[in-house]
Amino acid sequence: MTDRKFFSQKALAFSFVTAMVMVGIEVSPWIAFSSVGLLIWKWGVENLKWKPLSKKVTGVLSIALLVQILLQFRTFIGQEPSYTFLLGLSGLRVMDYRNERDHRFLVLLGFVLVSVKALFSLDIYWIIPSALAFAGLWYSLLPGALPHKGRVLLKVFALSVPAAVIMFFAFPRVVLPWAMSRGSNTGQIGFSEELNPGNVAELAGISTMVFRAKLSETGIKNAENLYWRGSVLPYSRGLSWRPGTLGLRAPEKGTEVSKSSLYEIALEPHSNTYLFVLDGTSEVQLEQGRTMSLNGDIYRSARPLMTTTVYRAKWSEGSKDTLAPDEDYLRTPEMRGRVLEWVEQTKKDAAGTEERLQALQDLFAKNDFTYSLNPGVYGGPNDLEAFLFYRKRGFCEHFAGAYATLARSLGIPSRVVVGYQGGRYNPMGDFWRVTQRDAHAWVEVFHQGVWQRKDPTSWVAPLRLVIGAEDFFNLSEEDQKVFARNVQWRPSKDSGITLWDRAEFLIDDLNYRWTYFLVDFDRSSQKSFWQSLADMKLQMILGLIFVTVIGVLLFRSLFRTKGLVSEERVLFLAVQKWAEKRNQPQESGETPLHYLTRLAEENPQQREALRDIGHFIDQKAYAGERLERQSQHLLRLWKQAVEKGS
Amino acid sequence: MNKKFHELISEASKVVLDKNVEIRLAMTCLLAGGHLLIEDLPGVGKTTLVQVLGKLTGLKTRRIQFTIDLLPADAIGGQVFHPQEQKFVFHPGPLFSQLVMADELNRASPRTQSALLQAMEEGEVSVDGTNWPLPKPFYVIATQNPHQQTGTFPLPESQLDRFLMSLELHHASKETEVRLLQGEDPRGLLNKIHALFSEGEIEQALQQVQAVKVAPAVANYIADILERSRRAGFEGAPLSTRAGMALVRAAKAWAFLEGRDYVRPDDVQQVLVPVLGHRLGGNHGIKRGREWAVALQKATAVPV
Repeated sequence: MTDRKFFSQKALAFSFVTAMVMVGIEVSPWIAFSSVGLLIWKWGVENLKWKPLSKKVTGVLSIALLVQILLQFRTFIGQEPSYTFLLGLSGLRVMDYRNERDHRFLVLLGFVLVSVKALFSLDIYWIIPSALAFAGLWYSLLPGALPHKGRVLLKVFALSVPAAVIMFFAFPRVVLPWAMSRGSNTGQIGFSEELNPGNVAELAGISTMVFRAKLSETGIKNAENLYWRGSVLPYSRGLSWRPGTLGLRAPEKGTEVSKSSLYEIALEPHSNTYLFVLDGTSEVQLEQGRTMSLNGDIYRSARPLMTTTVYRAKWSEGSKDTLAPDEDYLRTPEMRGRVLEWVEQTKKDAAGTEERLQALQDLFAKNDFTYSLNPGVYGGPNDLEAFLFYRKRGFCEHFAGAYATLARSLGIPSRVVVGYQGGRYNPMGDFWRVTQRDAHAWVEVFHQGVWQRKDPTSWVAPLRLVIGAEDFFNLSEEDQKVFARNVQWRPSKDSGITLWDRAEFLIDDLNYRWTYFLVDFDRSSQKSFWQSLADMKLQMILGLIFVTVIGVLLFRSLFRTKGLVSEERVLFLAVQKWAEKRNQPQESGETPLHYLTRLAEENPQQREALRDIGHFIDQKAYAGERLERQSQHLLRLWKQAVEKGS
Repeated sequence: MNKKFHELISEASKVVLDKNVEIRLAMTCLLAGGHLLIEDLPGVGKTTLVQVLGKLTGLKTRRIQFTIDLLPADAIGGQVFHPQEQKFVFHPGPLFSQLVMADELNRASPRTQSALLQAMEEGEVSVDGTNWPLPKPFYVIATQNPHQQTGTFPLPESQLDRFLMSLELHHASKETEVRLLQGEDPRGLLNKIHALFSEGEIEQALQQVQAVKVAPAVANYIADILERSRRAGFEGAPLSTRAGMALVRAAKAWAFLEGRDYVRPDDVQQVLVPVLGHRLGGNHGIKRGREWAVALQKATAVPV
């Protein structure tokens, strides 16, 4: 693209290729590679004199592209077919690039590519290249003759910033029922409706983020104590557990005024409606009518969580569920074989609930159980027996499931809780990052009038809880086995936080802030923002106004020349406006100088000022004199002359 | 320098009465290095104008009366055999002078017309493969009868384009006619005036005109005029870029006469009708073209 110069082609090439790469990552390889091929071909045409494709060929290829998309996806509607079509079309249009019209078309196509990408993935990683490409496309639209293109672009951008900020905070947010969701691929897998052996282990193999939590007010510093409740499973099938209807929680009567503190969770979109909360949460604050509070201290969202959702929750230390269970919480499948033997034996040996619980704990702590991500598949008529007495390999859900079933058969009401445990603390942003790796299951037993947490995993592999899932699963299988019960042991790591960790924390923090403050600044956030503005002291508001005024003044002095309008034009327009009011308009085709002379003759009171202005315009616009800063003075003189006349 | 030209214009006005603007435009055309086309009826003072200008500028002036049977060689000159030296020698024709008056150009055959026009464009003539440069400055003032008159070969648009300006010399006003009828024969007055310029001075002035500045605002204005002439709905022939360049050259010369070293849009407007008239008119004639030029000027806003 060297000999045909209409606009900045370098900027176009850079931005357009960036946009294509961004979209190219999302589509099937064949279209990505053929687009890259077309780009390389075009490069060859421009630089190595290769033979270009004719317009006829590219036209035929466009139709072929459409047919291929129809064959591959059976539809044109949807994210992937449209990405594919856009990308293919982009490659072909680059091939066709010949004249100014093609340039503009490519810019348009580039805007579409960038905005489509930005619509579907709002992560900060994509926003930066998107913004760059966007700016580049604008830059390539500025005519080549413009002397300070970069400066013009910056000026326009800087001028638009205040308006954009005001619009961002003040523009009314509406939730349209037909509004586009952020794509189907963002609904991550999560807990399914039931807990089958292996489910949690499967989840824990993925490192996708589930939510971030800010706990600074609660004062929790230890990952060990972080149990994030997702759902409660009341139906036992032996080793596996099923969900059941929990029922809406009755409104609390006597609200105990214990010391409670707020924490905040930013939940990524997932396929269920679970709102994960910390163990000990008494209230979740989300949009009105969006949360459902269920028995068992479980919270659900009324709508699917299609976007990142931010909610606050009230937590107090030691707050426990006290709702007495019915006999359903004692129901188990029929016990057989060695399991039945063990139950009968324990019933005989231990009379009280305390003793029975101790016996249960001993079963898990003293037998040689292995905590493993790959415990193998359990099945058959008595999987409980196979797990407890023969294979003895399991993940948290096996331990929790087995424990709860045994507890029930010993007459202790119990249930399985699924959710997450621990998380990774980000010291940069002071928040906890919880990923699928932290997926966990534990047990609650009803004893002494409250539901108490029992985590069999903490007896089998306490190290997992102490160092966190991420570090634990990074160990080799042998190490996991050897060190699982050694709470003091730590993986040999470089001491402290490495530079890489720091960078990771920083990027994660940035992404969190980005999501929280920009992407998901929705109706509720807006409301609370204005609410907090109203709550602020009057002084604060006055201070804000003062700062704004200073800012405006600063901006005014920065852009004294009124953007792209020349000084002489400003002056002339001022005169023209004045004269038009006096019914002395400029005649068609009349030169500015002639007009000013005529006005000077017709208006003796402004004669001097008009002559000066005429002289200034003549010298500045036509003679090419650099008369800087004179127009301000003239404008003042002109205003004086007008006032004198009126 | 431009004072001398003002002197020239006032001197010429004493002889050619009531033709102040035309004389000034004719000088502008000379200073811009272009050629001038005058269209009007016989007897309105075309020849006198040229003679006065020739005399005052001190340029070597010749007149060629074009007729239907005039051959190119009659204007350019030709090879003549010298028996003593046994070879052909080029005898330059009347074209080899600094100010050439081509009278009634449209009466000549197209072949002769184009020979002259080619010489105007290139500043040299070629005879039998040898190029003979014309003297400098070379200024052609051609006259033509209104194109409706019988016995004329109208100049095609492409050749009209070679003239920088076209003028109409109107009948003098009644007062002027009375003075003319009372007064001396202008041809007698001619003998009393003397050249104001010495050799080379005119050429120097031509160079100074070249140095006159054209600001972006003015160039923009001219580009706007060109663009407007090409829009649908405008009656005249669309203007070429060469027409725009002609407008710049003429405006520069006008600004020079005004004593400035930069062009104002006002200068452009002063020369707009003479420069664009014959180009816009095409085969509709210069008269219509001038009307369209006025309309074009009115329609184009002047940027600040």
